Formats: sequence, structure tokens, C-alpha cells
Amino acid sequence: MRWKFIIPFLVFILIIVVFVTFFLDGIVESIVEERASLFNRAKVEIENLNIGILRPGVRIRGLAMANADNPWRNMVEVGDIEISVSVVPLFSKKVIIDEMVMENVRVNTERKTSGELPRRLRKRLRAKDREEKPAEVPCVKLPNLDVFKKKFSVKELVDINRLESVKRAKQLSEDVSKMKSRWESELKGLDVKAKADEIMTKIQGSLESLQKAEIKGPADLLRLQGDVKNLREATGALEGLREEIEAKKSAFKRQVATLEKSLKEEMKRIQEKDLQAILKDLGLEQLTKVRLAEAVLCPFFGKVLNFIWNNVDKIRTAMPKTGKDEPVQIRIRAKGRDIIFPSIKKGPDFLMREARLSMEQERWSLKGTIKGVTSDPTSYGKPTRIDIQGKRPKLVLNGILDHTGEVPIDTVSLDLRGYQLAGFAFAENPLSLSNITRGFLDLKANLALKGDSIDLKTRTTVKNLVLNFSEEGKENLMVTMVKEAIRKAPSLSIGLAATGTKDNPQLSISSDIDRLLARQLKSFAGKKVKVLKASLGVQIDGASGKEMKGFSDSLSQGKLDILNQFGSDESLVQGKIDLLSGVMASKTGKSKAPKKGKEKGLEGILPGLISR
Amino acid sequence: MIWLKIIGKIFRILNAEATPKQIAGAVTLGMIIGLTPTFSLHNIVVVFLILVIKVNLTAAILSMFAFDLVGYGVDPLSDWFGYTILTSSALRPFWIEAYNAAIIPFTRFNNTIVMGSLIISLILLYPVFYLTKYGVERYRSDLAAKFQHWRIVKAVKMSRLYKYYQTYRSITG
Repeated sequence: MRWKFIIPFLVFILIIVVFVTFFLDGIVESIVEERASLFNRAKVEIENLNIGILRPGVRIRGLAMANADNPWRNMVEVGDIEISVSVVPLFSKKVIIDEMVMENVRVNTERKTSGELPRRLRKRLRAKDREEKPAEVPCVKLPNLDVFKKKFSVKELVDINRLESVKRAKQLSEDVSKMKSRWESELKGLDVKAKADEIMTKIQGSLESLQKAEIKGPADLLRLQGDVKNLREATGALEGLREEIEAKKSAFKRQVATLEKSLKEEMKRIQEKDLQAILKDLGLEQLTKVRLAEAVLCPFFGKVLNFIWNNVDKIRTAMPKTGKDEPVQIRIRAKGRDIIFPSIKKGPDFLMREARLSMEQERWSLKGTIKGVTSDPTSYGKPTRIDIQGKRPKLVLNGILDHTGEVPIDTVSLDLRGYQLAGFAFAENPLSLSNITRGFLDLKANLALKGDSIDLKTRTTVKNLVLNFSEEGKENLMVTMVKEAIRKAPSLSIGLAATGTKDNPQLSISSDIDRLLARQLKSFAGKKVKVLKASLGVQIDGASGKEMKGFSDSLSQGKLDILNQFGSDESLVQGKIDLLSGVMASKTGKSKAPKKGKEKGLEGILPGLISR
Repeated sequence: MIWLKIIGKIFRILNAEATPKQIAGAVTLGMIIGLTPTFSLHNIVVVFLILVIKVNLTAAILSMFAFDLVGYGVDPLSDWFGYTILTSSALRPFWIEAYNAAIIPFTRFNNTIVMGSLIISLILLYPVFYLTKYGVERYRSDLAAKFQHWRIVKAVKMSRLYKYYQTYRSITG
């Protein structure tokens, strides 16, 4: 053995150990801080990180995750994290965490410095942000009762140019002229005069010979049988033409009548819509169906939904369904070639078997486990399970994140009782609510995310509620009313249901305070709104009435014009029929000309004469 | 100068106290490093062996450089050899196991040149060891004395260049 080489070798090993002891921790710490900060969108700081060599694992002390929405507060702070890692899998590029223990977890703590990301990381985040689009949750508005506080002119509220009824009435006059020209072209298409003249020209010879002939008996009639037949056919053709005109005329009358009737109904509907639109602008749409809880909490829950979606997306990206094994590939490398063999999956590349956490804070005393967090759920074959129990407040949180199948299914259920709401700060809201002075919350929530669709149902009961309003809302009548409602009913329940997908979210929030408030609103503003509605109705009617009058005039005129044309055509045809009938009658002794084809005319008389 | 230095070193090795086995072992281990791509995991083991086992270090270094030059010429052959072995259907299950095993993938065994050159150097292991040992023994028993009487050796020893080299050697030790 060559000791003079073994000793330097051992020294070399010692240098590595010293490097690991003094420098590796710092390097890993800064990498973890940077990656986690980007993930969290706010600073993540670690007080101390130790990588254990003899007892393989990582120990983190003083982890603080700043709140991206409020950088002066920490979202989570963890006192100690101990991670035990299996060594052997590391050589196969697999990280298997046997156990992770998180102690002294605290939430929403104060920070001494801002948790905003440094400019360098913000730039990197901005590039990422361009790809992410937050879901937009539609929210309802609250009635604006302040409209009654000052004198206002109803005329000013009605903007004629925005009224749909006026637009429709204007459009109707155009529709009438279009209809008129269509019927005129239909009449032209009939070409009654030309057709009648053609029929008459054909029988001109027969008519003249019949006019000149004297019929004294059946023998004369038999002689003129051909002419009589021609006249009879011509009369039939003219009657057909007259019937055609009558059918068109009836169709026209029907169309006009339907138009008049439906337009009246349509205009009423549009005028009602106009009225509702103006009331909506004023926030006075439906006093009896006011949704106070939704108006106040919708922006907050919108944020919650976005938070769920963004984090579920992140979790699903980190825990995807494994793809199929790669086929054998050959990759050129320097002068040689790398033969890439298929990988046999013997478990996932990352697995955290169990994480235990405990939290002791003024308002929180929780303990729980998270089991089976993995980068490859299909290969692991088990879903991730979350079980957290709390003493203060009483809490049971169960979650199953099942990404083992084709469609990822995440379900979380929460049962929370007696949570102190004091200090809860409201986000921007129409009631100028700043925070909760006192109140206790019971919450039951069930969340199911199957693929892209969400199904969230929560039932919340708030007891002994005392709200704190900001100065801005002092003069707001609605705020006064809500204060009164809360004073009367300090306990209320709120139901929330969220369905749909990220692109099309549906959120509905209902509360028993809504009914109470609706009653108050009705008694306070019911009459006022009724009067306002009536005045607005008159204004809208007046505005669209002018246009409607124009429409009625043009419709009457158009109707008259078309009916006159039908009348003249009818007269023309009737004149010809009368002429022919007169000739026939004079020869057969019948004086009365048939008015309509169905009446007994020549068709009835001639066969009798002939058979005599 | 460098060539003279190398030749001088070779003669020093041949005339040194090191046994023929120690010289042959050094040449053989140096050959492995020289023939195969330098930055491979197995070469760390070979370097460790060179440092720990009592083999002639100078011989190992010289062998490494010598076979490195040979390696460039042998690369196409190593590539073909490695490709044939790695794509052999009979060995495929074994390679897949090795590819998915711990540590082994770090040896880059799936590279055609690494695999080919390692196999070639393993094949040459015994012949090189035996031939070197035989050569050193023959040199020491028969050739060493005769070699000193060669005219060319005498000429080199008489040259001013050699004297400069001797002076340089005495200064640098």
C-alpha cells in the first residue's frame, strides 16, 4: 500500500466534507429560496438550512413564506422542518423522503421587511404571467339607494340613444317599407292585367260570334257549342286568377295583422327591458331579490376560486400522469453515440411518504399528516391523502388528490367550528366593510375538482357578528340598512356553490340576511322605486312612441297601398268575368252574373239547355 | 527537449528499482485510462488503484499519454465494437437492467466509445501486462548492458544537449 497517496486522498475527502459542511448548505439554501419565491410569487426566506450527511436528510429552521397579496405579512411561517431522505435511491436519481416533520407552523404573521420579490425575480415572473389568465367570476351589484337622496330628473336618466325600444321602432319603419316593396313585387309577379288580357284575346272570336248570334232554340245552341265552351273555359280561368288574387290578399292581411299584434308584444318586452336596464344601472333592478352576501363576498370568493385553480394547476403540473416509456433512441455524442434504453419505472423519482405538521398559534392548534406526495402518481399507484385535525378551532380537513387515473380527481372536505372572525379584513366591497370586530364561524365545505370542472359547496354560519365599516360608507343608505339588518339578526348563514370550469365559472352565494334585507329595502324604497319605475315607463313609452307613430303611419299607408292594388286587380278580373257572364246570360236568358266560381253559372245552365 | 526527457524517463524507469511487475501493472492501468474517454467513472477507480497499489507512477502517466494517442486512432473501432455490444439483442435485457440500476448509469456505459474502448482495454489487459513484464525482464537481463554500448547512445551521451539535460536534471532533482 502506498500510504503517501492514501493520506492525501483522505485529506481530499476531508476537504470535501468541510466544503459540504460550510458551503453546500448555503448554496442549497439560496437555490431553494429562489425557486420557492418564484413559486410563491413573494419572498420565501430560510433562516438556516442543514444538509445531514451521516443522518441523511435536510433540516430547515425558520422558513417564512410572504403573502403575495400583502407583502408585510407572512402567509406561513414554519419553525422547524426535518426531512429524512433514503440514501440508496439517490444513486438512481430518485428522491424518497421517508418522513417530513413540520413544527411550529404559524399563519398570517407579521414581517419586519417587505416580502415583495426582488426586481430580478419579478422580471422572471412577469414573463411567466403572460401565459396565465385569471378566471373572471361574474358578481352582482347592490342597489344604489343614494339615488333617492338627491333630486334627479327622470328625463336625465333616460338616454334616448341607448333605448333599445327606440332603436327597434326605427328599424320597424324600415321593415314596413321592405315588406311593402316585397308585396308590390309579388303583385307585379302576378301580372293580372296581362294574364286577363291574354285570356280575353284567346276567346275574342268566340265572344264576338256569340254576341252577334241569336239563339232561339237548342239547335242554335248546339251550333254555337264550341264558342260557349271557350267562354266557359275563359270564365273558369278568370275565376282562378281572381281566387289567386284573393289568396294573396288574405295572406297579406294575415301578415299585417300578425305583425301588428306581435310588434305590440315585442315593443312591450323591449320597453320593459329598457326599464330594467336603467334600473340595473341604478342598482335598483330587483329589490326583492337583493343578494347582499353575493355582492359583498363575490370578489373575495372570486379570489379564492382563482387561488384554488392556480394551485391545483401547479399541483397537477408537479404530479402529472406519467407518459409511456420512451422508445430506444440513439443520440450522437462527441465521436461516439449514446444508446438510450427504455426506463423501467421502479417507483417514482420523487416521493414523500409522510409529512407531519403541527401548528400552535393564538387562534390555531392543529396537527395533521400529508401522505404520498409524488412526482409520478401512476407509478406510485396511490393518491395523496391529507388529514388535518384541529383543537382550536375544531377542525377536520380531509383531502384526496387522486392523479393515478386518466382524469385527475381532487376532493377536499372541511368541517370547521367556532373559528374567531375578529380581525378578518374584507377585500374591496360595495358596502365599504373594513373588517369584522366580532364573530364566530362554522363552515362545512366540499370541493371536488374533476379534470377542469369544479364543484364547490359550502355552508357557513356566522354567529354574534359585529362588522366594522370604513368612513367612506358612512353616508351610504345601503350601509345603514345593512347595519340595521345585522343588528336585528347577528347570526346568519351563507351558502356558496361554485360550478363550471376555469373559463366559465358559475358562482352563487345566498344568505338568510338577503331575505331580511329585501324586506327592509322594500319598506324603505319599495314605493319610491314603484314611482320611479312608472315615470321611467312613461319616458320610455314617450321616446319610443314617437318612432312607433312613424311606424304605424307607414304601416297604414303601406297596407292601404297594397290593398288598393289588390282591389284594382280584383276589379279588373271581375269586370272581365261580368262581361263574359253577361254575354252568356243574355243568350241563355239568365241575367245574374256569378260573383264567384263556386256559384252556379254557365256550368250549371248550359248542360241543362243542351240536354233539353 | 521533451522527447529527450521522455526517453530519459523511460530509461530511468527501466533501470529503476521498480520490479517488472510494478512497471507492467502501471502500464496496464495507464492503458485503461488512455484508451477510454478520460472523464468516466471507471477511470476514477483506476486512478485510485494507481495511487494506492505500489505501481510505478511515471510509467502509468507515460502509458496513459501513449495510449491516449493510440485511443484517437482506435475510436472508430471502439465505436463499432461498443455499438455492436450495446445493441446486441441477447444482451439487451442486461443493459436495460443496468441502465435502470443505481450508480451504473453514471459510468456512461451506454456510450459506444466508452463501452468499446473499455472492452478493448480489458481484452488487452493481460497481453499488455505480460508483454511489458517480459520486455522489462529481457531488457534488464540481456539488453541493458548492450544498450550502453550502442553508438547512438554513446553519441547522445556525448552531445552537448545531453549535458545540458544532465545539468538541468541535477538542478531540478
